[in-house]
Amino acid sequence: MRTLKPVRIACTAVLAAALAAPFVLLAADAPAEQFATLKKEYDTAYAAYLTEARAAKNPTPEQRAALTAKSPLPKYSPKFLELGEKLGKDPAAVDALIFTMRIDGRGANGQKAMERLERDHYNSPQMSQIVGMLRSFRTPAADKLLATITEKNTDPGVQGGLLMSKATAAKTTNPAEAEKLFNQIIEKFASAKSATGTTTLGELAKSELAAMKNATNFDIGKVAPDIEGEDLSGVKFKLSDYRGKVVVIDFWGDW
Amino acid sequence: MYPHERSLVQRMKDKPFALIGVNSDPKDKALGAVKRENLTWRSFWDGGSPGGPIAKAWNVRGWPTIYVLDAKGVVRYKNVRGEAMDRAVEALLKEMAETK
Repeated sequence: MRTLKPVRIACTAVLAAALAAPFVLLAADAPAEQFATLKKEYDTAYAAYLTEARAAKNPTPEQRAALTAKSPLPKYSPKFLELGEKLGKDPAAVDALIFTMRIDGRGANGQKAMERLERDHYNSPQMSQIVGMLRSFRTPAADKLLATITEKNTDPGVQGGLLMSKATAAKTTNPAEAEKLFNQIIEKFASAKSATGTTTLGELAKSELAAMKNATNFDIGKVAPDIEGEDLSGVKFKLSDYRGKVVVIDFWGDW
Repeated sequence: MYPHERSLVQRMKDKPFALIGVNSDPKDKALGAVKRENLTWRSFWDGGSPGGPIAKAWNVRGWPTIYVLDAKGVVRYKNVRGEAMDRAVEALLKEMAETK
């Protein structure tokens, strides 16, 4: 027993050091972790804020002002900006800066985040997440960031994403141009990942083209395709059963 | 929505007219609405979520979406609601009677 005691103390000391060391290392070495931690904190605060905001039905102007004052946005946008600046070239820095502009797009911190992205991260493949929305900000920082990415980013997902946002914007104003751009995407960026990473730009462009074609099939004056299916009780029937009648088709949901 | 459609269907019950729904809800929810709102018309069930096969084939991107077809199955009006829907149906019924 007498010999055991010092050993045990030594063990405890080693254990404590071993426990402490990776913890310190983690904090310093895992920028992704730092971003995730802050994001989680923000999500919790935002969820609580939303719950409170939804509970307040017909608030008075004073209540509404008090509620707005509780929004976590002003508290967190500088924190995300600071983290983004601190983490340097790490991809997590880009995540933090992008998040800053997501929650504070027209505010001062959002502009600083975009300036920083423009200066340090214009060639990051992560830019594919924002090329679709940058057009809508209409601030000098956003326009400059978009211009630099367009000119200098070499990632196919980013360049394809730029084309995709142009094509999508042209769908209603200039369908012929949109069709041309979607075909370009299929030609040049077919295998590039989409912004969400769940599909490829080629697949997206193909489905957009199909939807555009379909839309013209539904022009007024064309025969509608038949529907064969089941009613809510599981009985089979067809739309064409109603030929000879005027039919209102109502795509509905109970929400 | 429901009250207007109910009254249209009631008013047109002796006319060559049908209102056909295409429902995008889970089935229990759809059946709940039918019962609660006393919906007398038939609906295709589109698989339980928006973006089901029928909605996709018909290029439906928002709900509700309305198409009005004439007796030949030609799309004649889109997204008419309320009184505009009544007028569309009445115009097509009149047209049918005239071309008989």
